[in-house]
Amino acid sequence: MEISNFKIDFKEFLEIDSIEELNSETIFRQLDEFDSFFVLTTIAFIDEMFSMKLTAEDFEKIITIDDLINFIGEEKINSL
Amino acid sequence: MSKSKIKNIESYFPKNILTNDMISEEFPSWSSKNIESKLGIKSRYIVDQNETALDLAYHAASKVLRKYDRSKIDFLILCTQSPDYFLPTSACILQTKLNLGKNVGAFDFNLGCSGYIYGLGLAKSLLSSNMAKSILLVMSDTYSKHINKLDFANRSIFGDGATASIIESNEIDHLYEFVFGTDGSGFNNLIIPNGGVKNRYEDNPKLIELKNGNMNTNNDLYMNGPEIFNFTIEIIPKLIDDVLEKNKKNIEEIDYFIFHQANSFMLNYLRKKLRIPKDKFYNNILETGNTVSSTIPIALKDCMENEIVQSGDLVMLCGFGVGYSWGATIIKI
Repeated sequence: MEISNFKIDFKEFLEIDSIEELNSETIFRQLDEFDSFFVLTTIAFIDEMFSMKLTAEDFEKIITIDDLINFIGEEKINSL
Repeated sequence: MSKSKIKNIESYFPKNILTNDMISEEFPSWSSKNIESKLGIKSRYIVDQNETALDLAYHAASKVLRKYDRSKIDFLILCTQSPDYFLPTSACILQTKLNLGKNVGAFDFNLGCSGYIYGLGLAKSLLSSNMAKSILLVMSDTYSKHINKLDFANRSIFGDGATASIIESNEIDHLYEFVFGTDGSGFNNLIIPNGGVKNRYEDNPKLIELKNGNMNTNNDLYMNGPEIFNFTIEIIPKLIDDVLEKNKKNIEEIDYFIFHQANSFMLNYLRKKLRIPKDKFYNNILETGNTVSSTIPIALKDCMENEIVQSGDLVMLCGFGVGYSWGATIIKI
């Protein structure tokens, strides 16, 4: 999966409508859609797509989509 | 060896209703629509200040005993995390309130969302060992008493309520094999830190800022939602495999699935992950919220009364939560 497609899929999974696209400048916590479900939905997305566990502590360090990509690993995303 | 069957289930809820709109009014950034669409909850019942889990237990048990000869009950088991006292055990007080015989064995056990599975397992073992013939299993919780008024997330999720089930010896076994599990390493992700003997209840506790504008103190219930979600999605698939294997069944042979009704979001994800068809999976806490140990018997009663399940159907019951603690079984309706 290309990184650009990953960003689109993640945006759709979270049903983020307030912005056109997720980029390096998009701070998750500043989005209109950010709430406790945002965290749970991200955990579900990572579990479903990559069978990876994202803890509450891990999420504290995830500020933008780039941090999420780094957490998963570009290679893992590309190989999907 | 004596076999067991759930004979009847009744539920009881307090009178006060807390709606999503009422929560949104107090906390405008908390969208009423979001609570319903994501949590699957529109309203929940909340006890009065002077009403306790023992009162709810009494009403639920009285309802189920209206259609059952109470002199036949020889064991009373109460599951609660909101006991009236440190001691004596609430079940002893319930025995006398219900006018049950003095030959009745009675005790409480302290578990949350896995409680009904443990209660059924205990009932089955008491019946199969001939220590009892007719068991009154009561689940009652009032988490509202432990939730801070400023913790809107938990006020949205949890509701108060009680259920009473009669499990009696039967010629054919309707309670199949059980699987249980525990991982106490997650104990502090769902906890009331103060009020036990380790940390006494504080008179002027410090207000703690939680995520998304919620607040609580160490006297109140704390839940780390993401970690509870992680625990659930990690443990449940294996639990389902284990209970199927222990009962020598495959997943297609199960007619219906009733999981602990934590919230709609979690249940939807678990159902998808386990590839269980929507029409075989219960997901309804619209008017009750998460009533902790009572969600499974409330769902089972609804399924039996509204013929969602039929006589002879195999139903998987699965409970999980605070502890961490979990359990699953298969029952025949």
